[in-house]
Amino acid sequence: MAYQVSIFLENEPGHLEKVTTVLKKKMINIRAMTLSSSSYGWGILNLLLNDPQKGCDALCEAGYSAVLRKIVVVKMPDRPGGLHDLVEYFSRAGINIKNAYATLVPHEGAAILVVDAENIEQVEKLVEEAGITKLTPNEIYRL
Amino acid sequence: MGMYWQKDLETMTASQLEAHQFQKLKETVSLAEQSPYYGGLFKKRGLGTANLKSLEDISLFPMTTKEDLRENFPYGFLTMPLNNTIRLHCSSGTTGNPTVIFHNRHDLDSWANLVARSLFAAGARSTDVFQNICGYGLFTGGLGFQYGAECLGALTIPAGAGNSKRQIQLMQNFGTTVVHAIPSYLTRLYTVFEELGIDIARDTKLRLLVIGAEPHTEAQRQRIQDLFGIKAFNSFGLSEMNGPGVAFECEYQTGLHLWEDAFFAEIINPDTLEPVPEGEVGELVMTTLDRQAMPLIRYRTRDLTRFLPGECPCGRTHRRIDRITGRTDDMFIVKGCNIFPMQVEKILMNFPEIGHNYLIVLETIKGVDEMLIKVEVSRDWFAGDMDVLENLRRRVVNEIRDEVLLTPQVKLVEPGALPKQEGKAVRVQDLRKNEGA
Repeated sequence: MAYQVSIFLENEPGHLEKVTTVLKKKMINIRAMTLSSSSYGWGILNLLLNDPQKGCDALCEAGYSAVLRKIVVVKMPDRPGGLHDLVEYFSRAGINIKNAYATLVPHEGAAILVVDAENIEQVEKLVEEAGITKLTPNEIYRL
Repeated sequence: MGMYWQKDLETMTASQLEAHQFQKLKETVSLAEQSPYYGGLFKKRGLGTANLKSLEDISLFPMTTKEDLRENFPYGFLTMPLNNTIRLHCSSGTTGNPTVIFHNRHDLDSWANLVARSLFAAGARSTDVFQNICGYGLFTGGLGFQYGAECLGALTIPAGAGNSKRQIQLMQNFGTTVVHAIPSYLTRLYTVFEELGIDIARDTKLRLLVIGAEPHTEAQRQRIQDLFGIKAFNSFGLSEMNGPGVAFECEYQTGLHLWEDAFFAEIINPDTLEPVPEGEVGELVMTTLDRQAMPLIRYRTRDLTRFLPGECPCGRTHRRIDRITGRTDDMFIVKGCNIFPMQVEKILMNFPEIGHNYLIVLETIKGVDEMLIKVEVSRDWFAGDMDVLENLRRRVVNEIRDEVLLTPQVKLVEPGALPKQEGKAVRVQDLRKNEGA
């Protein structure tokens, strides 16, 4: 199973910078990220890291509420309709995506989609059954 | 020695206790007359020991307030030449004069004995190693417990406040069995045990905790007991009544036995100054019965509590008071709602998803007073799920609204974002703009 690191953050100037400082010091590379905020002054930062365990430990040590969260990372062709074909499948399979973010992998002419869903094990199984290219943890962390 | 520190005094019958108190009250009033303040007051009102026909006649005497102590600072309540006294304790006095209490040798011996009796009731013995984690100096919890534990005969470590790693090191080096600390510090100390990977049951000899000096809820006590895996006993005292050793829980934890041979206690309605019906909550008013240098008569403590009904299985006959439910002066009013911080705390303690720390901020936002409650998102519960957090926030809002009848704003903050609570925890920050003030 692959993991992202989710961090509870107050929505205040400077707070994201403190997180990136921790990661920089530990030489941890961010491959993709998404930042969402609630309307009550806080949000959650999701990070795809080259070493999620090390990153999560470093952030916890620095005092953050940070956690490893299971994700499924799938590959899609970098062309019009690439995401559509994937989403169409998810939609037919009745999968509700909680949070998702994408990034390009230009040298492969592809893109990846990071999926965070309620029943992530089930999503992983469905993706495998459908023959969608799923990245292994090592492939993800070495992107 | 058996079950009691002083069986004769602790298990007196009601009539014996009343006779004892009456005798001590007459001595106290006669002593108090020697002080400039009470001497002048009694003369003006025509009061003296002759007025005391029975214990109830104490109601003829006026009450003493903190303001009286301040106005007659520093020597107005002293009954003897200053060189007959041997110690003083005083408050920080952030507003106006501090309040100061003088003691002679008898007073200090009497105080130490009451603390020893309290510790004994909670289960501490002369064979214990007692680590006193609180500020020494002017704060009465330091020297009060030091002399009390020494009087008990325990090996006493004057550890002082703070420096958690050193505290744990002391516990391990000397096999500490009993710790006294304020409750908010203990919850913090526990996190240091965790960080260091020290298992309390396996790696220490701790067997008993004494908590006090800071109002706390039953939920907070339970939480401390759960974390440490041992019992935590409630201690009550105030510097005007020496300090610790006024009322204390025995092994049954059924409320705090107030040492009635040394203090005469009344519970009054703070508005009418009349006694409340037995068992109802009101302000605790106390008279010292065994203090010579600076006796106080009917001192208004501002602490709210009630007498608990029934007998305690321990056999001690002194009445028990409930934990302090608030103070007549820490209540705050927002949008016409009277709120005690304890009400908010009680609710927050039911949510394991948030840490032990919280802060109530009162602010004027767009001309309206608002109660903002900041709570820390606990690392142990955070799962990276937005909906779970939003749901948590909404539940906290609803439960607090149901309790205090005002809708608070609840702000989730990062762990460690709130000020660390070192001494007495400051839980309320009033930033409101007082119109016309």
